[in-house]
Amino acid sequence: MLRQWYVGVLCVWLVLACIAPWCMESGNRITLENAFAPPTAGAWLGTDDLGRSILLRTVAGAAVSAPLAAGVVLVSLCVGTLLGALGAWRGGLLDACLQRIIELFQAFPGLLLAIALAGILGPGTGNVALALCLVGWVGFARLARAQVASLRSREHVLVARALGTPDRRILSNHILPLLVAPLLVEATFAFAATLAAEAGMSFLGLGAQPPTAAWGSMLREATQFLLVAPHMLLGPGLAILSLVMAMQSAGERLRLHWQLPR
Amino acid sequence: MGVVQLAARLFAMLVTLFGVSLLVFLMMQAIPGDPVDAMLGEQASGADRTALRAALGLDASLPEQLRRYYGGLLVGDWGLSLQTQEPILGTLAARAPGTLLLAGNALVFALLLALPLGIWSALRPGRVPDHFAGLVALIGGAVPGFILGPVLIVVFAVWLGWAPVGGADSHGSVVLPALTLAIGMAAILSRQLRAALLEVLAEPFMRAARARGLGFAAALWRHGLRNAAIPVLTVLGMQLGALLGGAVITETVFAWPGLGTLTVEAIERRDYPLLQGCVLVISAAYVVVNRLTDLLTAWCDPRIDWSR
Repeated sequence: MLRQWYVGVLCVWLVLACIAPWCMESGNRITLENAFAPPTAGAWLGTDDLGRSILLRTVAGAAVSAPLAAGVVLVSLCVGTLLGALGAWRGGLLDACLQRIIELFQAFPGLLLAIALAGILGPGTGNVALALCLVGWVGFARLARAQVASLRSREHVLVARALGTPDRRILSNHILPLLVAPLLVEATFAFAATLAAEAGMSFLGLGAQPPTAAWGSMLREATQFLLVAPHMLLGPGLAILSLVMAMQSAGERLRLHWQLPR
Repeated sequence: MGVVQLAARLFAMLVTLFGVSLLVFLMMQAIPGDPVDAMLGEQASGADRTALRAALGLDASLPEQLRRYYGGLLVGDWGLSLQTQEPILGTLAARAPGTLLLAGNALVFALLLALPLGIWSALRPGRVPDHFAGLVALIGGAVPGFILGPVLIVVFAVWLGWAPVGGADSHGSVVLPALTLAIGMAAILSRQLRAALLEVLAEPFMRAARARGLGFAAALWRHGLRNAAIPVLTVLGMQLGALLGGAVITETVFAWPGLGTLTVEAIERRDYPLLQGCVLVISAAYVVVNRLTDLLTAWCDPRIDWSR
């Protein structure tokens, strides 16, 4: 049971993300006389510099960070897979160009590129998501390209081609189903990485703007009051850590299940 | 290692660097709306706008801008910071030692943590030490610097008072930021070392070494670690490169005066030419470190095919 701890963690966060929209308003309620209250039985995670409940804000943050990471991964997955699969299937100039672009993006430290892009585009969750997508599609494109390139010469694909099956049908019926497992594993790890990257960018002040509760910006506020209220780290810190670790463990489990190479 | 292959590798690195610099140039074209508006604000006078536009070379056509960009890069004229009006190259050079010092310390800490942890778990696979090392690596690999950093500050600077909270005023200042970077690195390195060592320990040459009368420690040192070092070295290079990029956040947590904090300052002040310089330098360092690691592994391992 202990080995599947991440299933429990993910379920808890799924439920919390669903009730999060109702926590947003109460999480933003300011009561200055309660500022910096340490955790008590009434308020589990204490209050922040404006007397807002950190527990409510942490739950509310799930509605910002998790959907953003999921959206970024979904867009990256679709765009990357499409480009990678097309490149490997068509070959020629398209594939050569794609390969150069992938290599170029991989020559960059991804987080720095995303931070700089978001910095140029201006603060806001939309721009953070855009920057993360621009960096994120590359991993999926590389994976899909490599997979399709090796699947192309599989016997069932050769047979389908010999029978005159149209390309579109071969790709959707004979290749795509075989891509699902490796792409899903990659998506799980990408979700963990995107969540951490988004929080990091919010930490730098690029993501959600006040008073919206996002885990990264809550940590940013917490670091300003480390000397007086170290408990402010607890809520958002545990939220990010538990979700990232659970997603990584789930990805690792799936990878072992489908016996995929690292 | 042939001279021709070495030259080919170095040429490939130059091509990558060219691509990276081109991407940075294109990125700057993504500034929404009018970059002059973004930098000066909307109340700026017409004369100021025209002056800034000319100073940034925005009045020229795109090919002309590109020509000036590369011309400037090559002769070391990277332009002036909008905020301080100082040469960007000088500003970068003043901050680079901070980041290098941090990266160097982080590397040493990471090795000091990863080597014992990796060896220990490889010698006792599936036992308690291995599970412990696995758990440490799982947590260490997942915790981002902007959580670990503040936690280390609270514990070691605020509660215990062993190290300064931030800045770079005393000798001990580098310890906490370096440790923050090192823990994430050590998590991945120790796992890599464990996997590589497990593979090497099962090799016949290890048993042959023991059969020749070599003690276990000597066999491990002379044959085991030497062979396990190659995959670890590759990961180390990637990590070191990532460290240069990932240090942006950790440097900010500790207010460490390096290239990372300079990048964040450039973003906050909308100093786009300085931001461009920061991204260029950090990315170039990333490319060079990765390629040098490739060369180093190939040099260490005669089995790697150079003609590839």
